[in-house]
Amino acid sequence: MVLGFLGSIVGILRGQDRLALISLSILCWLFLEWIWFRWRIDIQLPQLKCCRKVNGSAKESGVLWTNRGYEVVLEITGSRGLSAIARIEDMLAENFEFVDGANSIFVTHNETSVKLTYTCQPRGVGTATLPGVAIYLTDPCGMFWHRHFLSCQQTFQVLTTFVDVDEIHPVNKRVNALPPPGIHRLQRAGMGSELLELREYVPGDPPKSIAWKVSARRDQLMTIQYESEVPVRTTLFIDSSISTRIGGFGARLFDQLAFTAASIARSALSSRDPVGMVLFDEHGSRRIESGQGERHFYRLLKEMTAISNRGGPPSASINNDMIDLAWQVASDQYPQWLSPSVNRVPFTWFPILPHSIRKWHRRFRLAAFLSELYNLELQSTLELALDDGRFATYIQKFLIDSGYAWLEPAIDRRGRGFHDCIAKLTPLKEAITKAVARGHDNELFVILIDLIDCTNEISTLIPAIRTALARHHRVAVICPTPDFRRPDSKNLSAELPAEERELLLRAEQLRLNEAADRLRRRLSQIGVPVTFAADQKSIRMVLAEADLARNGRVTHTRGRR
Amino acid sequence: MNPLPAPTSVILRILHALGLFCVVLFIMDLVLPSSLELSVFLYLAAGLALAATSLFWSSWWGVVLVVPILLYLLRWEPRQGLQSGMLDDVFVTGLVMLFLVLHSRLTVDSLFQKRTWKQVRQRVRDDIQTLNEGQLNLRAMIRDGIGMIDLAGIRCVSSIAIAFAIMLLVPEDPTSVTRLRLTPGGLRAISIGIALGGVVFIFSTIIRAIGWRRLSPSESRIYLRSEAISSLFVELRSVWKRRIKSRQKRKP
Repeated sequence: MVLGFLGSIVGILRGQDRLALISLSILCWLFLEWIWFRWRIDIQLPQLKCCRKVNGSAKESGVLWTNRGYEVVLEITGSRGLSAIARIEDMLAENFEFVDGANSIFVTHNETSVKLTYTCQPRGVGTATLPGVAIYLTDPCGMFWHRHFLSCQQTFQVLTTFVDVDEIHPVNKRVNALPPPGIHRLQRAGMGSELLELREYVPGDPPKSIAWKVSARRDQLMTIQYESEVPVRTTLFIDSSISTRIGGFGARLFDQLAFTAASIARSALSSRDPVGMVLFDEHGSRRIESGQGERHFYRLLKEMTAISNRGGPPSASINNDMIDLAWQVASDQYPQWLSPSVNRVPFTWFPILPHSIRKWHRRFRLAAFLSELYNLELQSTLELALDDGRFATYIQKFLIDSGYAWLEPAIDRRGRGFHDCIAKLTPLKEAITKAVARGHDNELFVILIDLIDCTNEISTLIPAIRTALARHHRVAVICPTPDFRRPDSKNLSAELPAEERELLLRAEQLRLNEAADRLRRRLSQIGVPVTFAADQKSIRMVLAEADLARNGRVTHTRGRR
Repeated sequence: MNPLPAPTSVILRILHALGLFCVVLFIMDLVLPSSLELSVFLYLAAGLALAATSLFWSSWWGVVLVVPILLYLLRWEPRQGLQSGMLDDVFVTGLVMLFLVLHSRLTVDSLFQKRTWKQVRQRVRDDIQTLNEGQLNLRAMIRDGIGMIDLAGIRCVSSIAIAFAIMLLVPEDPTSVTRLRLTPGGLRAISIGIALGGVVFIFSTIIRAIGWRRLSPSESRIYLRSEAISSLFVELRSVWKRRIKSRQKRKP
């Protein structure tokens, strides 16, 4: 435009008509292109409509499962169509992993409707949102461009998947009568059908319990006693503290814990054993009563999903990475709200440097955007723009609501009090004590907890575990690891790596191995089996414990796994 | 963020730019009289523009290609009235504009439809096979060609017509020096500037009005919010800074 403008003026002033004509033509051409482009933005784009079907359903909400592929069909239609040239992109939330097909398309010819088909899968437990479609519009000569966001929000609850682990059942017949499903033998005197013992008659025993033939043979009254038949309740204690919820979807410790808990619950429920759950974190615990059936299983899964979405860590001080991430997300989903023509920044003399001016403009626009999004008061815009702590809190809230997990560098995993073990173990201790007080004999307590960084504080938990064991309950501990691998010194090679990063990783691995060894020793001293890395092997360990509980035997499994 | 995809290879950029400048040189040789100094100028200009296009590929740089032509006209075009070579001027303008539009359109198309070497080879093979079988559909080819130009071509022709009409309707006034103490060129520039500025102002006002009328309630609220704060910014800022300081002092 500058070229055309200068050429026109110089050409007209100097009487060089050919130069003036060419420059003026360029100016007129740019103007006509701009008019036509604006018409497309103001008239054509608003009439576009979007319809998305995930697995054949166009509903605004639904339920998905982690690590399962879902076909997404997106159709954009408009009464005036969509003229070239445009790029249409269905925006995927962080929790979605692209699997197959294409979630973006170039429109190079005028179309009345555009269709996209692709497959994606949720990565982790929580909420997954498909916010809408980004339309990048440009004129046929590539001079102007515009980004438009077409809202088409669909929000899904993502439940964790589970596995059916092959249980090892004994082939020899060990009981005379098979109890009904969900009922198991307990070697305590009761009203079961299996013989427990014969003992001498004690005054007060019911006469019908006297074994007359044996009494006749021994010439003294003998009482016959039968075993008890009880259900084996499984209670899952799941760590939902912030240390388990940091990281990208699918890579969080909570994802491992949810997967293991769901698999154990599925296995127990398929044997018609009741399953309960206690979700605990630094602030307390929440108990879900034990129950049976499919509906109860889905309730447990939904509770885990809900806790995964819940609040975050205490507000950290604001940093540039957080602002950049929030700005990017806001620009993607609400570009009109951040437009300089709508979201005005007040004039100030300071800052002077261009970089600082840009930062201030971003911050103020984000503040105005957040206060409008969360319906805050007028003065809150300025408060957010000036107060770092409050700004950080709202940015974190916005990122969570937009389907972003707690990520580094927005949140450091270490060194900011996210491993407040005492705060986490105290509610767990109380929850176990309550469960023991409420429970009957022969229950199975599975504790799924991030204990690797809490080996020094484990003594807080030991008394509660001892109480549970003393009441003939079984306790198993599953501790997830950040790299999904079992800590094992055999995995480390003797040679030291040359690179700095590899050295750091090795040091971290050594630290994990040492912590795991200490934890294992400490828990095996009281006869509690512990396993690391929440995987199928861990599930099998818990099922073995459950099997022992079902058989009513009192043999302890070995602590070392 | 510019939606145009960036090309992958620098070599491809340079090859593309070289090909285009061959076309530029060819057109300029056709249009302009050839001489030694002209040739030197052309090759220098081509070299400069080649460097520019290689550096700024991802943004629109079609006008950069016209720079050599405009510079040449600025330096060597004789000062004369429009009436002397009207048709010649229109022809040259049409040629330059056609080149500009075609080049811009082809660049955008090539950027959007990136093909691998395998796809290109397959396409060529298919075309050769079609030719051999005698199934070449000329009508379809012409239709595709026209389809590619479509409205962009119409806008291009319209812009030349408008520019030509403006030049014709606002001629130089030889009496301007005595009447207004302005050179004829100066008066003409001011007249055209006022006319064009008026048109641009009217259109931009209409478009802006349409844009404002289409704002959603949330966008309107954000506008009001930011405007309200802007008007009282200095006072509110001092109040809030004091409040935040006192709040921080209260914290242990």
